[in-house]
Amino acid sequence: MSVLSPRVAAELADEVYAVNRSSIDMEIFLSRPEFSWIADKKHGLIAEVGSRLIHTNDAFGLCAHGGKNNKNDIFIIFRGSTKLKADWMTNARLGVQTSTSGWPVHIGFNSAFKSMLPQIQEFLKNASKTATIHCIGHSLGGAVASITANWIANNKPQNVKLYTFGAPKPGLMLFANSLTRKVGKKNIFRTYHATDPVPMVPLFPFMQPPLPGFGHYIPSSEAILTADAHDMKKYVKSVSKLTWAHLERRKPPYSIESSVKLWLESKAPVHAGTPKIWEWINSGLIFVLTKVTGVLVGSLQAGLMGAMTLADTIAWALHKGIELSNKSGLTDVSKWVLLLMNKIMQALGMGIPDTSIELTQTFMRNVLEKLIRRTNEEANKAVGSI
Amino acid sequence: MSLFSTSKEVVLCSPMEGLLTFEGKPVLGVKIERRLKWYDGDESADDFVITDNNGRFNLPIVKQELKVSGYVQFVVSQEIVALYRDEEILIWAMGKSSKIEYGELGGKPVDLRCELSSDKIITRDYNTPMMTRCTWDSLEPWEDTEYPD
Repeated sequence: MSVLSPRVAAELADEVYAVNRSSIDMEIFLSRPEFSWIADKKHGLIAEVGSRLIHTNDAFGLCAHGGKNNKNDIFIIFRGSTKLKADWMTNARLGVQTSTSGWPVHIGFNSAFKSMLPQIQEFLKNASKTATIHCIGHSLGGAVASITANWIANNKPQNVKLYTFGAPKPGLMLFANSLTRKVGKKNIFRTYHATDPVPMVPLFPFMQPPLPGFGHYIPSSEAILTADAHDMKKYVKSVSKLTWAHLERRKPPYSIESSVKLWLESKAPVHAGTPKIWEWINSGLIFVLTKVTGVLVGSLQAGLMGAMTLADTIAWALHKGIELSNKSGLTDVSKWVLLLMNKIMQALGMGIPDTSIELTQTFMRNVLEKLIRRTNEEANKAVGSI
Repeated sequence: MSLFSTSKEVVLCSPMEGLLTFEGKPVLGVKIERRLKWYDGDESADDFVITDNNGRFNLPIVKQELKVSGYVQFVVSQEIVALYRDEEILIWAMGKSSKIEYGELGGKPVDLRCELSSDKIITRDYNTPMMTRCTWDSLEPWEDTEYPD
């Protein structure tokens, strides 16, 4: 079971963007050492026998068998969008549907995966059972690669490894858990720049794999989220001299419950626009929803699979939590919800902390809607300014 | 500023000035066609030049003000073919994802020569993987303003 180096995985995720439908693009791509068979001029032709484009209206990728030095490797590589009309994160609804493996995933990513599945199945039909399948992708392509890796782990005998760069969250918490269990944490290489906003969206209950885990992380001294940080070429440059061990992330502060509590209770002003603020808010949401209100993740999922928006679902859950605690008188849920709402409102520039807010469901939904719109805009701004 | 429609001048193809030969001899009056595609083929621009009496050609820079909505990795597919003796001979192919001038190779090629009878060369020695039948002596020093070290 070979593991690709960060450099090779990143170069593959990058070079797939240059493949269109002309055979010369594929030939250039397959001239990489991972695919080459023999050192004569015909190797392009031979390699092409073991590869195919997987192309639908929604998505684009390619499958290829490894060459003589990678005989036991199979590559499935997806690319992010190159079309102007790409709008897979602009919809505030951010719906969820059940993946082929039974776990809740983002509708857009799942439909891209499903549109390519027949071609992937066809390609894998005669694959060696002992092969290692490397699923690779950047941005949207990384989300699709994640769903593909989960499908392979559930349906195929081969080993699977997943490498993503700047990928958004592919599905809900339960999907991230299932993927991590099935594929194995050691086989998941989720790589992201600290200042790339795309991996931060959508908000909780969408979660990144591996879960538990923090992925592979490239720190940055920059103070703001940037377009460059999402660019695949930048990822290639960042990781090319590093190993996975270098990139493995230690536990970040906002993943520790006591730090999240301290952050919520602190009176320090919130600086909107710093990359970390969205991670803190996301962690605040996780803490308040799962620890304070005691809402079951399953009920959040049910809301998202129905007609409710993400903002509706979270507002409903928070409100439910407050109601229950008022009845039982056990925990002061409204205190934590209020602290969280104040932080979100400050980050959105909606005013100074206010302890007299009435936490109605409508009010919270409006704040959350603004928050979701803003995080998606941050992501769009970063990747939209070419 | 709208978050969803930032626009920027993008160099879709840098200028290419060079000599076209067949078996080492300059070929005159040969049509060289340049085909550019971006946004996954939704947009394209084609042009052509004819080699002069010395076999020389001069493809001008192609640039455009482009708008992009979210989550798009920019790449322009460049294909340049010479129409020689009723045959289309591909002399240049790459997917340029750099947006700046001379981002293809990481510098301006000096003394560019394209030989129609040569085997195609696939190389990763420059900024972007590419196929070409052209060679050059050197690249003029170039500052990478997109991905500086």
